[in-house]
Amino acid sequence: MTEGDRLIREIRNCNVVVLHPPDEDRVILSHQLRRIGCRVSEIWPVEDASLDGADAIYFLANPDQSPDLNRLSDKHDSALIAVVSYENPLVLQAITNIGVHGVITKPVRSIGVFANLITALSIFKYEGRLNSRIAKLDETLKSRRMVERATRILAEHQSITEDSAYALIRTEAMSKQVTISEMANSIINTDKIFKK
Amino acid sequence: MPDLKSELGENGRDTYIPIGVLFSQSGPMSVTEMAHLKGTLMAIEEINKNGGIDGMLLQPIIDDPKSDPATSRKLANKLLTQDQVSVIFGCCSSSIRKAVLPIIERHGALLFYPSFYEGFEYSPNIVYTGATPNQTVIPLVELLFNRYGKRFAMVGSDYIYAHEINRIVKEFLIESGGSVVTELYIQQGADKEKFKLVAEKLAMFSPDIIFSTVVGVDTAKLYDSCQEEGIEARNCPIASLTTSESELAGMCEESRCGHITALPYFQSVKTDENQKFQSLYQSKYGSDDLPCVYSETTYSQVHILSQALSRVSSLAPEALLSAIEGIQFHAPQGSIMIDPDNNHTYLTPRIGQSTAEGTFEIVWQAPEPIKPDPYLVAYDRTIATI
Repeated sequence: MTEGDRLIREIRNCNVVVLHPPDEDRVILSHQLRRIGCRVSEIWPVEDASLDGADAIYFLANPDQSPDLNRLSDKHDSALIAVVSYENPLVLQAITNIGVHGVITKPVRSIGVFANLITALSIFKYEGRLNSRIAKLDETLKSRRMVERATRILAEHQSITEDSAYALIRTEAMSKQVTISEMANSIINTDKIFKK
Repeated sequence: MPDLKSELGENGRDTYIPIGVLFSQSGPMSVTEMAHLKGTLMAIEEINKNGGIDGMLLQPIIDDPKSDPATSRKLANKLLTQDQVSVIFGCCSSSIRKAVLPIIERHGALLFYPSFYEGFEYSPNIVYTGATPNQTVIPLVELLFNRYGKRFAMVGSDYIYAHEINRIVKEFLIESGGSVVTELYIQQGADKEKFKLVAEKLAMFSPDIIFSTVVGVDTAKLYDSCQEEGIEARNCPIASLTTSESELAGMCEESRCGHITALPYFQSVKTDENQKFQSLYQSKYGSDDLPCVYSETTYSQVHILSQALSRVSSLAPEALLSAIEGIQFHAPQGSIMIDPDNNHTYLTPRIGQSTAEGTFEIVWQAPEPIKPDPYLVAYDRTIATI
């Protein structure tokens, strides 16, 4: 099953929060979301209402009438979709700053909501996968730098080649059952103490 | 209904309510849409004969979109602007519905759409009176599993309907241990030679079932070619969601027997309403013409509009829709009702096996009307096997 298949099938277990004052657009949006199988909660005014457990959040983005946007920009566990009535730069800046995953324009039409939600969810999930990959790569890069430094320290200290120094660190790490980067870290720390 | 009468300009004599009728009388969908047209005209005539709607008569304005999306769009626009209709009965294939939909929405009009289609749509300006995939696909696949097996060969007309229906069927197949041995698509209107090649390929895979989403005039070419290729309906029937009596009528006797179709109506349905419907149909179109689901659905949807019109004195879609909500119409197929959640129709699916005479023997029917679920919200994609 592809990612797209999964997303479409899981729509019926999807929790969607709609942060929008009651009006005709909210009725059309919420009805269509329910029609495609989502569980919908409508919240207005927003204030400090809980947004936990939302897979996607639709929020009104009007200069004079939107929920606390700072709060939404800190929200990293839901897809964010702005509902806009003005396409002026002020609004567009605000929603790009938050990093929305989709936009839907007023007047809201039933047709388009399904495609909009699927796109936003798929971008949100993709973004999540990229972010966790970046975090892992960061970690790898940091540990590689550490291992290189520890290898140089050890080679110098013991007058051995860097290859042998690396092999030594690896063997030590394995016998002590720690990761190579942890081993490297303790070598670097020990070296710091000696240099004091 | 003083409002509507004055709106339509009462002239002391008959007042007419103009109604747009947009079914293709030529092109690859004509065999199906001529049946749509027959049912529509029959209902209009019946209603007018019985005094119309509060004395006002329905006046059909009939245009032929020739199975072409661009022409359909142009004609819908013409009906809504020049002829000033606000209700259109019409469209069959999804490509044409999609072409007409923006025009209907822009003019705030109402389209009564009578076809079975692939679902995943809702417009507040469309009343969908055909079946949705949950109503017919699921019972059909279940019956095929239990009777014939789980190896499906898929063949379809190359457009959204066939691709989406096959996607849905595959979801159910794969979750339930079935398999797709091949999947072929043919351009609409392809010649008989192409179908012969397709039948050859299908035979090579010796599947348990040929699952066809070939529509319209091409249907007969497929069934005839499969028969000529020696594929026997006894061992490997062609299963369809659109092959009705009107499609069977275009086939050879040898090739139309023993195949399986799931639809909400067959000519052989036993209800009092169907008896009346059939005799009315045959008195208008001749005794050798059999009514099929396409005429039945369009017949019913005109009656639903007529009942809604006599409840509200307005042609405004919102007013009509809210009137339609409460209507339970005793159609030839049984009781039907529009679901206010999604504007699709509660109806009773049936499965028929075709006979050499060009009719269907009903081998299964739902015990009660099934809720339409155009977005397949309520299904986990598995099929129960006995």
